[in-house]
This record gives sequence, C-alpha cells and structure tokens, in this order.
Amino acid sequence: MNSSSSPGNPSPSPSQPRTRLGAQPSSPTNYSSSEEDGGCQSQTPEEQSPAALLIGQIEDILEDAADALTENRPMTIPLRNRRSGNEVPVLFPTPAGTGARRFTAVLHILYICHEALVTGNIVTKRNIYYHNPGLFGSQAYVDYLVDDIAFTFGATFRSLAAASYFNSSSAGPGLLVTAKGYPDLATRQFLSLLHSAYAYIPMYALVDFDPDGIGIMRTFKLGSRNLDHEVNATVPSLSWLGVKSEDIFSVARPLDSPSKSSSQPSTCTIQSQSSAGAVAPAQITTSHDSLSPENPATPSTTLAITDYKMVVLTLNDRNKAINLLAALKTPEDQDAEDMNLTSELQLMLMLNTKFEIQAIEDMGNMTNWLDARLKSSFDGDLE
Amino acid sequence: MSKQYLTTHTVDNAHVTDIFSLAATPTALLSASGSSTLHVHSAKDQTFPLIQSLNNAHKLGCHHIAVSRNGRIAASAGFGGEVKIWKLSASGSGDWELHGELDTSSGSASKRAGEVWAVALSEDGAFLAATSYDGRINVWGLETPEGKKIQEYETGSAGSGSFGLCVDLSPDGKWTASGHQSGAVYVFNNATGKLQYSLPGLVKPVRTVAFSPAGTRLAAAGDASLIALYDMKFGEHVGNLTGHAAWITSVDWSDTGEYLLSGAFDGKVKVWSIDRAACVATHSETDKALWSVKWLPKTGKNEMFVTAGANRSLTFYREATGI
Repeated sequence: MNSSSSPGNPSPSPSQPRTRLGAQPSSPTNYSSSEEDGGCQSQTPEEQSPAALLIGQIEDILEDAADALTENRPMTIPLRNRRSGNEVPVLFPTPAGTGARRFTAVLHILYICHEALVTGNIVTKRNIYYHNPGLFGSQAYVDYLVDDIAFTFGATFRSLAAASYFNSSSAGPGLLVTAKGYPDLATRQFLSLLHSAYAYIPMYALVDFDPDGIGIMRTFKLGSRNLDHEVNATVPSLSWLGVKSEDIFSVARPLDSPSKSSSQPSTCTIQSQSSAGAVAPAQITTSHDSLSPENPATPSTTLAITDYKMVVLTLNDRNKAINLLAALKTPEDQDAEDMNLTSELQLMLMLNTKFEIQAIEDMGNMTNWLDARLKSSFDGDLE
Repeated sequence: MSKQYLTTHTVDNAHVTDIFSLAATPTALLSASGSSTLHVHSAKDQTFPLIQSLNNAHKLGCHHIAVSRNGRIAASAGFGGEVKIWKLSASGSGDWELHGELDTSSGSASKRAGEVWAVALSEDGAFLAATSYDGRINVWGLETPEGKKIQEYETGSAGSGSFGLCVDLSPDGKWTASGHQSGAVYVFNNATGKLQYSLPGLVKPVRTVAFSPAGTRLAAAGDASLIALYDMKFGEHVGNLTGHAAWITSVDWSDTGEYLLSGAFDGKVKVWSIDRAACVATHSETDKALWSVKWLPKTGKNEMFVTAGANRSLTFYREATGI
C-alpha cells in the first residue's frame, strides 16, 4: 500500500513503525491551482496545504491497516459519527464476523480520495459511487459514508475534493443555468424571457440519458403538459445537446472522435460568435463541481465506457419512457428531432439502460465533450 | 475451414426507424421496428419484395416479433406493452390477419410497461411465452383470440426478479428458457411447471437465448460478448463461443443445428460451427447495431440468412458454393 500510494517516498516494510506522513505529501502537486504545473515542486511542512494534511491522515490509516494485516490483528478505521460526535471505529473482521462491506466501502472511499488529492483531480460523491456500484449499493450509502469521513477529518467533502474547475470553460462567453432538480417555473420563465429578448442566442439542454432527463428537456422546451396556464415559460428553439446514446455506446461503436472529442483552436471562433446558454437541471451542478481540466484529453481514442456505469431502468423509468413516446407523434409524421427522441427512448427501453451526465465525465473529459458538442451544434445551426 | 457468404440482396430503408426484430417463416420474412407498421416480405422471390404492411399494429413501435415454426401464427409485442396475435390467412393468399390482442391485464395499469417484453411461440403456435419486468415468465394458451394465461414462472422472490430480456421455447415444447438483466439464464420444465436449471456462466445482461432444433442445446448471449452453450440433458455448461467484441443481441440456430448465427451491437454478424466450436464467417455491412439475425428456411441448395438493425435495412446473405 505504501509503495503504490507514495511513489515518491521510500517504502519501509509494513511492519516497521512509521512517523506521520502528514508533513510530506507523497506527490507534491500544487493542490489549489490548476494553472501552475506543480508536478515537480516540493512543499515544506510550513506551507502545507489542507490537502497535504488530509493525504497524510489517509495514509496513516492505510498504513495502519496494512500493519494490522501483518500483525494479525483486526484492521481499524477511526470514523466519527456525525450525530453523536463519537468515534465509532470501522473494524474488519468484527467480533461478529460481519462488516466486510462497510469496511471495504470506507477503505475504497479513502483510497479514491487519496488518489484525487495526490493527483489534484476532482471526485464527487457520484464519482465515488460509480467506482463500484455493486459494492456501495446506493448513492445514499456513499453520501452517508463520505459525510462521516468528512466529519472525521474535520472537513467537508468539498474541501476533500477542493477544486477550481469551472472558471476555465472554453465554451466562450455563455450562460450556464441550472434548475432545482426539476424544471421549476421561475427558471423556465427566466429562460423564456431571455429567449424573447435575445432570440439569436442559441440555447441547449444537457440532461441525463434517461426518461426523466428527456422529460425535463421537453418541459423546458414545450412547457408542462398539464399546466397550460403557465405562460411565457417555454423555449421552443431549445436544442437537445445530450447526453445521447451516441455519446455512450462507444464500447460497441467507437466515436468518430477526432471531430468530437478534441478541442481545437477553431472552436474559439465559434464561441466568440455565439453565446451558449446551456440549460441544465440539477445533475449538472454536481458535474460542474467535478470537472477536471487537467485531465488529459482523449482525442481520437475511443472513450472507454465500461458496463459498470450502466444503470438499469426502473419500472417507473419504463412507464415514463412509454408516456413520452405516446406524447410524440408516430414516427411516420415526425420531424427530425422528434424522430431522434423516439429513437433514443426506444433504445433506452430495448437496452433497459440509462446513463447520467456523470457517465460522460467518467469516460473522459466533460469540458472537451461540451466544447465539441457545442461546436458541432453551432455548425449544425449555421448550415 | 471457413465458409463464404455473399451479400445477395439488400432492402434499403425497409423501415423508417431501427428494425428491432425479425421472424422467418418458410415463405415470408416478418419485420418489426420502432414505427407502428409491421412488414411482410416474400421469401419466395430473391428480391424479397414487400407483400404486406400491417399498419398501425403498434402505435409506439414494436420491439419483438415471433412466429410459430409451422409459419401460421405470429405474435408482436409493442412498446406500449400490448401483444398482438396474427394468423396466416386460411385463404392461401399469404396475407396475415389480426387474430387478437393478448389479455395482459392481470397486472394493474401501472404494470403495463413491465408485464410483457420478449415473446416466443411454440412450434404450432398454440402457446406463447413472454418475459416480464420483474423476472416472471408467463405462458399463455392461444385458443381464444385474447389468450389465457396458463403458467407463471417466478425467477426470484415474487415481483423482484431480474428483467427478462429474452425468451425461447424448445421446438419439442419441453422447455422454456429465459435470459435476464442480471446475467441469469433459467430453464423451466413445461411438463412439471418447475425450474429445471439455473445456468451459470454469464454475469452480464443476457439479450438472447435460443434452443437448438433438437432441443438438446441452449445458446445464450448478451453483454458478455460471448455465446454460452448449455446441454439440456443435465443443464451443463458445455462451452463458450468467443470472438465478438460487442454486446450480442441475437442468435439463431440453423435448421440442422450445425451452425449458429449471431449478431452484435457493432454491426458484425458471425456464423459459428458448433462441432468445431469456432467462428467460420464474419461479416459487417454496417457499423450500426444489429438487433436481429435469422436463418431463412432452406429453399434452394444454399443456406441463407438475414440481418437487420439500426441501419433500417434488411441484408440478405447466402452461402457461396465452390467456384
């Protein structure tokens, strides 16, 4: 564990007692700035960032666990309960012989956090869940454990994954709007007003690849079907940016990626010409927290989606997809966008699968993807 | 030794949307797609002309179509949750007529999205098996136009089984097999009404299952990108056919059981020799997903098969003989 997590440090044998590593970040990255290349500078203890402290704390725990293995005693992770404030160590094995899942989950989260801190990359709770949905079982379980871990370390998750994304969007001067997790009337009316005042500004929706996402996008575009009295709350010209099946099923069908996943200087021209208003429901908020501009772009390679990111449709999802299909005209009478929607909804049902926006990020780089998508949308609109 | 197949004919844009399912009779090929219309193509003519359109069959599109081996009864399942039963006209015209709509209302309205997914018909079309959202496999008798449910197989505790993605009935009527989202493959004994085998081997969604013509073997495949073969005598996993690089959506046995046809999400279709457990031919006319691949009943001396999927076309292949 030592050698793999601290490549820059000598690796004493696990049984050898070690001093706290907190003063000595194993990979001396500059944790707070994405502008500087901090890959080769060393930090003195006095300048220690909160991230370096956390790295040390996590490594202590991991080392102790490794020591415990060699010394044939139960592994212990000291965790504090948020409600009581008491330390309730997570043990394995427990006297009752249970607790394997809890221990593994906590250990796994610590490992992910450690990696994120060392590399300067950002992880979200959702990221963590997607690392191993089978282990965690639910997002709620991850949230619960992460909150306990954050409490234990005296830091919020945000500081664990402290980041500076989002100022760096190269999509040009634009406006990103997020709603409250559903298409609330205030946001819809705001966008409608914006659209009526600046009709030339293109607006795009970024939603999950699932029936709810498509339903949300349709509500922003066309209004709520049951509430005709809601006036001035639609944006008929709203375009569906994604997530679409073509973004995802690269495991079976490589993306024609040179044009899609590389960000070329030419995008600047287009961005300076247009303002991009991306309408995105709540999910995008979590994504924004976690974009990692330092991530190497993946031009001309297949984005590697793996099966674990697939989420099975619930019966509710299936019913919703069917209701959406029923609300669209029959394929024979549809315009291109409706045909596309029909096709995507049918594909969801056929594969019994949905994907969240997060899947794009997990596959590569969200910023590059957004840049490329917006560019191709601009190109399409100009044609 | 590999086999050679040639593309003999393509019906471009056979449907306006993705073609999700095919069913072959001795005289015709039935196709179902995301549109509301089912198509019937004549298999008597090398150009497979469209001979009948069943309009407004499924308002929201059709995801599965099956036909009885005797070619007289067909069943189609729509995205709206409805199942229609079709009969070959007694007049001999080759036309298909609506026989009835399956009564799936035993479930509440909220279940309509989950009550029926994949469908299969028995050799004579007297029975229909269908998977459900919660893993049940239901069998209906089709004596009356609306059908009558005669069997309900549970695969897991009641109401909490894994989505049934595919189903098949053995030609001798002895077995019902189902493939599930969880990777599970189950075989039920229709005589005893009990689970006969729970087959291991695939941990990813199983999108297609098919019994060999003699009913002695079962092929199952899906997101694991391999085809698992099971022997039905003892439920033994007897081998894997590996070579696909994408999710496998469809498999079909040749009439003799010597060859297996498979289609995948990357547009590739493969022919496998069962004896040699080897791939003997690979074709890809498209890089878009194939949803259905079917052997055509042997009419001439050459074997033929057809593929369809996201490129909306029907592509016909025949074996190249010698010279």
